[in-house]
Amino acid sequence: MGDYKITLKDVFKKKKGVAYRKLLDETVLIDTTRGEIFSFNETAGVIWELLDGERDLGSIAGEISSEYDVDSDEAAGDVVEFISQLLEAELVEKPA
Amino acid sequence: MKTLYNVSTKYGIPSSVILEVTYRCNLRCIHCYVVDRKKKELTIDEYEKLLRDLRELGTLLLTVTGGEPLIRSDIKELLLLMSDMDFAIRLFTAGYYIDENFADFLRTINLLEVEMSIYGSKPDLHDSITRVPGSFKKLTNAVKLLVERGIRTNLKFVAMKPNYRDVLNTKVLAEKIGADFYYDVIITPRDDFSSEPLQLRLSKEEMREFYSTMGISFEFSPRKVDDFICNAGVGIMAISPYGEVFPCVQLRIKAGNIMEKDIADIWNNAEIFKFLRGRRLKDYNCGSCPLVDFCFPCIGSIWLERRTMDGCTEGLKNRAEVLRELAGEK
Repeated sequence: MGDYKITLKDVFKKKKGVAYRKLLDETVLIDTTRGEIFSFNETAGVIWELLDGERDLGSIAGEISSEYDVDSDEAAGDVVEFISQLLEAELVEKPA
Repeated sequence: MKTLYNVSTKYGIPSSVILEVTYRCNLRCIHCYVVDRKKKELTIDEYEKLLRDLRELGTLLLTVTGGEPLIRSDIKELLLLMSDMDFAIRLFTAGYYIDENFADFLRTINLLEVEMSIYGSKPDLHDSITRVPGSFKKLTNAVKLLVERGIRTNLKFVAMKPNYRDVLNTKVLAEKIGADFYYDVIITPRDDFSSEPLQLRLSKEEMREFYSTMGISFEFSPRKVDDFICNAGVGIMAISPYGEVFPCVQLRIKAGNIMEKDIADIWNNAEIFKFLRGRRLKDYNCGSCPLVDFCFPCIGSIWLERRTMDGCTEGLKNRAEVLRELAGEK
């Protein structure tokens, strides 16, 4: 999905085989298929939790905007940017 | 690079936990440290509570070992439970019970890797160590099934007097069938302290021959005396099939039992864990040992052999001396 243009209507889910744990201020992941460890900050960890394969990115950005009291455009930008990083790292996928 | 050790020390959590899910085994390996005390094993419901508590505590990686874990009739249910609770899983097995059906199942869970022991490149040698005819064939078949399914598969060679000269052939075989290959030369007493397995341990001359054959592929760097000696009780713990909690599978000093106390309470308050977290390399004999930079200190094996965490063992000392000698020749 290298050149894929992410929109707020897109829906993603966590890739199968990714184990994760939310700790105090970060979320730590192990991609068991590659044996690699990743970690996200608190906000990114909340977005990660919300990637359930059902809600779209617009809805996730809405939750981030109200939870952290940030402007909705800024939240949408942050969500899209984080998803592009997750796609690059092959940690999320489109639901079937 | 982020490691689970970093995570553990940052948050004071057991990011990695070893679950010995049974001590039963169909093999009778001559060097095995496990003693089956034939007590009642934790049930699936008891494991479900334990796993919920470990998830809450922040544990991410579970190493499932035994005995032979696959001898449990509910092993699939147990592994599925772990996977559904978002743990990553390492599975240690002899591979004897891995058939196509089980290998297919393993593809469906959060499995990081499967580790199996191999004791030689030929059936006769391997089976003479497991003392079960046909175990080599079962093992190599299991590797084939796992590798075919893209499952990361490690073969570990434990070097002992009867097999150490076959290590290169075994390495070639492991790589040919698609597995990663590791080796170890440390043999410990059984976990009831009986010392029979030590008769199999390589002498210093045999260790020199072994490492000369294998070459030294690792780099040595000065140890930091303010580091923990190892991860036991700091980032890992082990839980027996009877619910007993230990710092690791070798340092069997009981921290508690999950049937009597919550695992979080044991992890946070057991005296042995507090003791280990309060000590650094410099607080052990290793801190002033001239061999320490060439050693992989293991207080668990020292404990099993000497019933104290101080001092050293002949195996650790011989290995470090041989490695220092060979590193000097590089």
